[in-house]
Amino acid sequence: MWSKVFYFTMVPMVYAAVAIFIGGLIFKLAVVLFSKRFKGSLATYPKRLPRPVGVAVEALAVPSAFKKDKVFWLFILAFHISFFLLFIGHLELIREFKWIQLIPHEVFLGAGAVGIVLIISVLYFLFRRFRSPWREISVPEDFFILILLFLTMFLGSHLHLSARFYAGGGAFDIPIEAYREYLSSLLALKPVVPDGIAYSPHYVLVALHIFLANLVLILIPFSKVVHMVFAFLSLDLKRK
Amino acid sequence: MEKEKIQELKSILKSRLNRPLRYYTDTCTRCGICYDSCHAFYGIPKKEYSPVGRAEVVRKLLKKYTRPSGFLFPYWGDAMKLGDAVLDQVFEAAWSCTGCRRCMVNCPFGIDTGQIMGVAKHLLIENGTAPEELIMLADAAVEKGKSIDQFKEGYKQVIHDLEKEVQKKLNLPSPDGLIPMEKQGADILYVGLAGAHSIVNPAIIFNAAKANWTLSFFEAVNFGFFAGDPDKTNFIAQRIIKEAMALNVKEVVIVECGTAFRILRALMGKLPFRVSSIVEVIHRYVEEGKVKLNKNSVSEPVTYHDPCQLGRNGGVFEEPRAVIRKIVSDYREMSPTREQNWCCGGGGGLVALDNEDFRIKTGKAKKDQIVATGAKIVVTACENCVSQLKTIKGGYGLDIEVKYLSELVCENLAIQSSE
Repeated sequence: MWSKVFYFTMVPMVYAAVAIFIGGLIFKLAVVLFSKRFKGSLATYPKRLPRPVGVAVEALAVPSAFKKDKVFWLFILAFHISFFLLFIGHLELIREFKWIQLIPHEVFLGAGAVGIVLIISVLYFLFRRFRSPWREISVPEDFFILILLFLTMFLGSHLHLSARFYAGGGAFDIPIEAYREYLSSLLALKPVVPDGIAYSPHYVLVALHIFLANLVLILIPFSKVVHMVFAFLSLDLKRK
Repeated sequence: MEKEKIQELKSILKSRLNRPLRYYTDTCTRCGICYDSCHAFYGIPKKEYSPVGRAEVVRKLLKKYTRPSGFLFPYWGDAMKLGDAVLDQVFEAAWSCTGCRRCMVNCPFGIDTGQIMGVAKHLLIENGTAPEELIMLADAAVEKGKSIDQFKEGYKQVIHDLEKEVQKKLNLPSPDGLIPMEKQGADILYVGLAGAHSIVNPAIIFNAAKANWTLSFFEAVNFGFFAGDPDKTNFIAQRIIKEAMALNVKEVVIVECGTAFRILRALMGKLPFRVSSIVEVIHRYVEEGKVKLNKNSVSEPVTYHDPCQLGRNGGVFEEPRAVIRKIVSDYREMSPTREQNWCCGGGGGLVALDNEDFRIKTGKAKKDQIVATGAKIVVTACENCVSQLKTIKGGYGLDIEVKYLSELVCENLAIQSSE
C-alpha cells in the first residue's frame, strides 16, 4: 500500500502540482490583466531611475528593507538568491547543463551551503513572526508557508548532504543518476521511479520531500508567494 | 447586521477590486517593513495605526468575499465576515489614514494603503457611518456644480471686493479686472478655495507676472475624494474640467491644496490641458523674471514642509525650495525630507473632522521634525497642512509661524512702480 502512496506522490501528484502551478499562475495573471485598470497614475516621486530599471532594482535589491532593517534585508537577499540557486540545482537533477557548469561543481552548486542558508533564512523569517509587532500582523498562512518551506528544504538538504557525505557507497545509497532518471522520465512523460530510489531504505524521505514540494508548487499561485510575480507588477504601478 | 446591508457592502468590495487592488490584496507578505512608516503609528504606536494593520482589515474582508480560499478556509488568511464590530475596525483604519502614501514609498512591493483605505471609506459611506461633515461638504460641492448659474452673480460681487486688496498691494490705479472671471481663451484657469487668501495672494502674483488668467467659479478642494465617494469625486473634479474646456484654457492651475492638485493631475486620466500647482507657476514666474522677489529679505530660520500630495505624490519638491531660497537667508531642511518627509497628520479630510486630540498626537512626528530644525517659520503649500500645522503649533506650544508659500512670496514681492 505504501508503495502505491509513494508512487502517487512521486508521479501523478507531481504532474498535478505542476499543472496547478502553471495553470494557477496563468489564471491569476489573466484575472488581474482582465480586471479594471486604474485610469489615473499611482506614481510616487522622485523617479530616479528609468521605469524598468527602477522596478528591477526595487524588486531584486529590496532597498526599502535595507533602509529599515539590515539584518532582515540580509536574510531576504540570502533567501531569494539561494532559492534561485536551488532552482538551478534542481535543473541539474534533470540532466547536466554546460552553462551551469561554467563554474565546475558537483550537483548542487554550493556543496550544500545553499540548502543550509535557505533553512536558516526560513527559520529567521519564522521566529521573526513570533515576536511583536510581527506576531500581531501575521495570519496562519504566514506560519504555514514558512513551516512548509522549512520541512521541504530540510528534507531536501538532508537528502543532498547525505548523498554527498556517503558518495561512493555507504548507508545513503541514492545516486545522482537515479534522480536524473526519475526527473527526466517525468519530463519525457514516461514516468518511472527507478530502482535506485524505489528500493532505497530512504525512499520515504524522497517521497516526503516530493510531497511537500508538490504542496509548495500548488500553493504558490494561491498564496502570498505569488509576490514572486506580482511584486514586479505592483512596483511598476508605483512608477507609471 | 441586516442581510441586505451585507449584500450591498459585498457588492462594493467586488466593484472596487480593480487591477491595483488585486495586486495589493495578493502581494502583501506582511513583512512589516512599513510598520512604523506611518506618522499615526509614530504618535500612537498601536497595530491599528500601522499601514499593514490598517490594510489587513480591508484585505481580510476582500479575502472573505472575493477569494475562494476566504470562503472555503477562512482561517488560512484570517478572512473576516462583515459585521458591526468589523466595520468599527474599518472606520478606525480609514479615518486614521491621511492617504499620505509614505508607507507606499517604504513598501517593498509598492502597496498603496491609500487606495485600500479608499475601499474602506466607500464601505463606510454605504453603511451610513462615514463622517457626516465630509458627506455634507461633498453634497454642497455637487449641488454647486449642478446649479452654478445661481451662484455666479453673488460670487462675482465677492471677488470684486477682493480685487481692491490686489490693487492695494500692487499700487495699481484701478481694481477693475484684476481678478478676471469667465475669460475665454485665457492661458490659465486658476482654481482657488473658499478662503479669500487662496484667491488674493495668487491674484497678486498673476497680476505681477502680467499673466493672461481667469478665476474658476469652483473651489479646488474635493470633499468627495476625502469622503471616499468615487462618483462625487468624479463629479466635483469634472466641474473644473468642463469649465476649463468651455473657456478653452491651456493650463489649469490649482491652489495650494495637495489633494486637489493630485486628483486633477494624476487621477483623472489624460486631460486636454496642462495641470499645474500654483507652486510650480510661482517658480516658473520667478525663474523667467516675471515676478521679482526681495532677496534674503527674511533672516529668521525657515523650513519647508512638503505636502504629501504635492511632493511624494506629485513630484513637486524643488520648485518651492528654489523660491524660498531666494527670499530667506537661513533655510533649514527637515529630516527626513522629500519623499520620506513625515505627513503633518491633517490630510485625507482628517483636518475637517472633530478629532483635534488625535491629530495633535499623530502630529508628533511633524512636531519633532520642526523642533529639530530650530526654524521659526514653517512654510508649506497646502491648505490642510497649514491648518494641521497650526493645530500642532497650538497643541505642543511651538514658537513658530506657519505660512503659505504664496503668502511668503507676496510679502516679499519686489513691487514694480504702477503704470
